[in-house]
Amino acid sequence: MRKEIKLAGFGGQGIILMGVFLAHAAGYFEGKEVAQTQSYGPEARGGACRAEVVISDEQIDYIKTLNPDIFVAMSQPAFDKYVFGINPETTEVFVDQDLVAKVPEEIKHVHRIPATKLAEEMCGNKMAANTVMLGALVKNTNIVSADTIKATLSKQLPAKLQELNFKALDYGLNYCE
Amino acid sequence: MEQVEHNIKIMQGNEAIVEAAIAAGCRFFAGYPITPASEIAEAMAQRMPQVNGVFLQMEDEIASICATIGASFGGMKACTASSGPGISLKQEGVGYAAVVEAPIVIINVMRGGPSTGMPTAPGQQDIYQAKYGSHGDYEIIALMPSSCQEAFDLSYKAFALAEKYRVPVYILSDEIVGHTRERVKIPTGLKPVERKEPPLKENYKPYEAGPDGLLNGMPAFNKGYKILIDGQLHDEEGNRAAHLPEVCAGLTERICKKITDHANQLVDIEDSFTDDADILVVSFGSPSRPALSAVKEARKKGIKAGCVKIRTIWPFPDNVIADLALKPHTIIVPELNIGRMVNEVKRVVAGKCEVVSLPKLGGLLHTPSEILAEIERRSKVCTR
Repeated sequence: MRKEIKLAGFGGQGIILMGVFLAHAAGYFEGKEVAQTQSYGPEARGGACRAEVVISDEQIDYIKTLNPDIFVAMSQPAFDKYVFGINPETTEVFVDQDLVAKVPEEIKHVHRIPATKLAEEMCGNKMAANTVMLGALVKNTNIVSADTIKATLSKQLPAKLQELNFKALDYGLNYCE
Repeated sequence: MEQVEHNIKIMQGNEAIVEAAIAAGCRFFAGYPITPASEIAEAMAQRMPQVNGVFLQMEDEIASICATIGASFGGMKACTASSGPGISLKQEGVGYAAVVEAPIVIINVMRGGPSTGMPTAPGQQDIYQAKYGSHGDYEIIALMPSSCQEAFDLSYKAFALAEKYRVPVYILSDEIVGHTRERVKIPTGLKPVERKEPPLKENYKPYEAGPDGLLNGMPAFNKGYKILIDGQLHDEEGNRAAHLPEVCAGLTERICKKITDHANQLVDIEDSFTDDADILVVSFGSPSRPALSAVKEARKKGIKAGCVKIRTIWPFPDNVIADLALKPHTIIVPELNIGRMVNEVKRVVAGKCEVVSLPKLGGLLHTPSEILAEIERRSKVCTR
């Protein structure tokens, strides 16, 4: 089964890192095929940046997303720029509720997550907003398991960032819309 | 938590090249950073000191390739990496390496050109540069990965081929392979590529070749071999011989034929669904992945399509492609340039079937549906 995930936001929000973590959880800990790509260079600076992850049980031929099963937007410009290709009926759409105000009504599955707010108010660092979002994404889609994403954070993050990110992940995993 | 399968790493294509080089025994890298190849220099700077190797950031690209050639004769397996503009600058050194028969690996992470071009976007516009970029008659070997796994496997292989054929070997990667993260399985027990020492030190002639045109081993400085290395055409001892037409003709012919005569041994292709195919998609590097998607889709629609991925593009696999062209009525060649390799395919197919170019410029990769649309169009207009 091929699953496509597109993640988008401002450069600096840790969008690409979310992609790397998902790829690592699925590819390293769950033994699935993965391909993770990202916007690069001037496209990635400032405005809108993007990461893409394809996860599959079979060999991945085409590495980019065409019709994402999951779309995450952490800013309005990124939402507008990268929303193309989603299926309004089936795609699970995650937005930072305080940063993405305009979501077309025809999109059926919208998850509004106060990721930046939770990171700032509950974890004391808004830089962890991406990890809050990652938690919410994992909880609502099971694209990877909570255990493997935790194992990924343990393996990939330097020690000084672990506590903050585990806290942020838990807020995401436990957030009820 | 443990990983499900061992020896798997998630890494970018550029990182996979570095790990493969180290596995092959490469202990010298000289380069100058350039997008989208910089991660290679970055990872080399980190990894080389860990394995008692040498990382040198040089003042420019010519210096980088020259240092690489020097290191090779100093007894190390060595490589350099760059992209379009940097590879253009390296061309003087490529010709030199070819004529002094230095085993080196040159990595070109291709971006859109010409000139400064599109630094952050992929391209396959340098495939002829790899073969013809430096002046004079010479031959090289060029390998093209389409995935991070192939980036690893082919880079390891590049070092082995460089040693065997005493020739510069190109890895023609691109921005897509370079920056995609995928699973890479690193084989256990992978041994460094062996560098064979020439058997005799007495009366040693550094450029005395066997009947197959290949030199017997690779000497190093300070090991007791009398070696003379010169970009001027030379005799078997390495003495300048520009005044001796027969010697010069012989050397030029040998450094070309030692590669072209071994073209059949160097063939590396992967074919899928070709047995009964009416339409073949022949591709190399990144486009071979949407090509395979498109062929699978076409099969679902009942179209007999097949796929051939060329991994060694130089020397071109003339005989294999000519044989594969006997059955289908059409061959489609998708590539990230204005339509280059299609000319090689046309040359070897020699009219046996229709050959269609499917170029893509602008720094974008073909989507599977674009290739599928061409397959469907051609399946309706059977040319036979």
